[in-house]
Formats: sequence, structure tokens, C-alpha cells
Amino acid sequence: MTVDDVVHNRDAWNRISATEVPLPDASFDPVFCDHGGLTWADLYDTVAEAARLLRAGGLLVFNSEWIRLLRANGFDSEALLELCPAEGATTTYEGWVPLEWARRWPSENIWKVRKRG
Amino acid sequence: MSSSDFPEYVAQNVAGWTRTNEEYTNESASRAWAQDEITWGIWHVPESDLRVLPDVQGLDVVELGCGTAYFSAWLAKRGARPVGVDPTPAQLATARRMQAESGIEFPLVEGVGESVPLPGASFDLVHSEYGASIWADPYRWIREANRLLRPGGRLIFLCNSTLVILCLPDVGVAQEQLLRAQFGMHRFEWPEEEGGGVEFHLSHGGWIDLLRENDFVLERLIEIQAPEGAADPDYYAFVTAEWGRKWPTEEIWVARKQ
Repeated sequence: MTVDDVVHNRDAWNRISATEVPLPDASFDPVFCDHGGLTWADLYDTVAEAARLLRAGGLLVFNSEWIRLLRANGFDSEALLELCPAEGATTTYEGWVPLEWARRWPSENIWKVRKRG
Repeated sequence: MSSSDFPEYVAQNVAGWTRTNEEYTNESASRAWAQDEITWGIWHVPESDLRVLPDVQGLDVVELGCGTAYFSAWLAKRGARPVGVDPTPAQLATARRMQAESGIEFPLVEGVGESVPLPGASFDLVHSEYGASIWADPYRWIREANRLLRPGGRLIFLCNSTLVILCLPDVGVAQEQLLRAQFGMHRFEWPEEEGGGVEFHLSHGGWIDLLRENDFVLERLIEIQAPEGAADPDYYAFVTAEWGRKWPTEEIWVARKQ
């Protein structure tokens, strides 16, 4: 299966698991994940899969906390962005984190790591 | 840099460490220096469990905030060539007494982590355990660590976990609630009854940014759990063993200079 096959075939998309992505090795520069494979699939398998998909020097952006796991899969951690909402911010995800809480502690992290070339 | 040029909080911290030296570290130094095993932090977790250190044989090491220099002594016993740096004369006096008693000798230098009176690119390892890692301003001492290291050299430091700092009240032990905000964390000043010291603590995001800005590649972050059956700390009583079993009290950062 090629990148084009997957991107243009809805059935193929629906079958994709974050831990077993049917795409060739080293075919992406960035791999992006927002509350997706990293929150809902097994973290250990997902990171290994991301490492396989990335070209050397590609970027990976997602949520998680596992520096050692990333390192074991060939990633250097470049940044951990701890998100602080603006004063008066609103969300469509009501009932999870009150704004007052989210203004004092991070409710979401973005990890930016790089595959060692 | 003479002591009158030190950052303003240094005099306060030196006064605190002079008192701690009288109350505790001058006496406890004999025990620490005599210990054969390398252990980390208030829970004394063995290096053999954590495997943080490289083979230190023949390495030039500088310990920033060495106190009574027991950690440098442990490294010297394993063939390293340490230099201990600390701003508190009483702590260095204890270190010199221990050197004379043990016969393990290495240079000891009075100075602060923010501006180390040693030449650049002269060390393979910059080490700090409860030294500059919490008592010096990280935005200054991490830059110094970079300057002191040779290319490819390692920075290894132990500090308190972000979480334990957020759970600490002004007076007393760590609680099971977040008492301080994480956003904006940097400088913490404790009241007189807790020693009146000025400490520096960052969030993980803050540490990673700072290490990257100073040309370090992050190799490991180890979050330390109190071992099963650990007793409450006798002197540094800011946390209970029960708390330390559930959440990390301390963390060790390992980074390599590019």
C-alpha cells in the first residue's frame, strides 16, 4: 500500500490502527497526532510505528510523557510545550478542565521530537 | 567573581547552609564519605538500580554545589578526577577535613554555579545533586555547564520533581493537592521556619527548552520513587515515605553537549 492509496481510500483509513500503519518505511517528514494514537492506542507500539514511518530528520508532534520511550525509538526530545489557555478562553470540550485550573497547570502537552539522522 | 558579586540570594543560601552544616552535614559527612556504594537523593536509591552514570574512570568531573563533597569522593574512588565547587565556606571546610581523614584528595573551589571560576571546555562531566541544580538560577548555571564541558561531555543533575514542589505548603510536608501553580514556576523562597532559602525549580517543559537552548541533547529523565519500606527522611523532612512511594520526590536529568 502506498501513501496515495491510503489518503484517497476511505475504507483503508477506517482500518488503520496507530500501532500497525499500512504505509512504507521512511515515507513522511512529520507524523502528527492530537489526542489520537498516543492517547487511545498503546503508546509503546505507536511510538515505534512513528519511528518506522519517519524519514531521517523528520518531525513528530503529539501528546505524551515518555522521554525514554522516544529515545529508545531513536527520537531526541526538542520541546515540551505545556499549554496555557489565554485569559477568558473558551472550549467546546465542556466539563473536563475548568479554565481556572487550566490557567495554573497544563491540561495538555505538545511534545516535539526529532528522529536522529 | 568575588563573593560580593554573587547574585543577591547567595548570601541568604550560604547563611542557611552554614546553619545546616552545624546542625547536620558536618557530622553526617563521615558516614557519607565512608559509604562505598553510590546512592541518589534523600531515599538513597543505589546507582546500581538506576544506572545513571557512565564509567567515570579517567573523566574530568566538576560538581556544582558539592557541599561536603561526598559525591565527588564517590566518583574519585571510581577513578574520576573531580573538582568540587561550593559557595559555603563551612561546607568546604568539612570537605577538606574529610579529605584529610580519608586521604581522598581533589581540588575544592569556593564559587557559585552561576559563574564558576574554572576554565571552559575542561570537563567531561558536570554533576550536581541538590547543588546548583536547585540553589542556582538555571538560566545562568546551565549556560555555565555548557561552557565548562568539552564537546560530547555529559551534564547529570538531580533536583526535586516538579510535582513535589507544586504540592509543598510554605511550612510542612508535601500534600496530596497541587498548592502552587505550575505556569511561571522558577524562583521559590521558603519562610524562616523552613530555613529561609531561595531555590529554583522549573517545569519539565522549561527544563527541556533550557537544555536545548544551551546545545544539550536530552538523554534521560529518571523520576525517583522511594523504595519499598523506606523510612521518612530524618533531616530533610519535606516529604513522607508514603508520598514518595506514590509520586516522584526527585528527578535526574542526563544530557549530552553537542
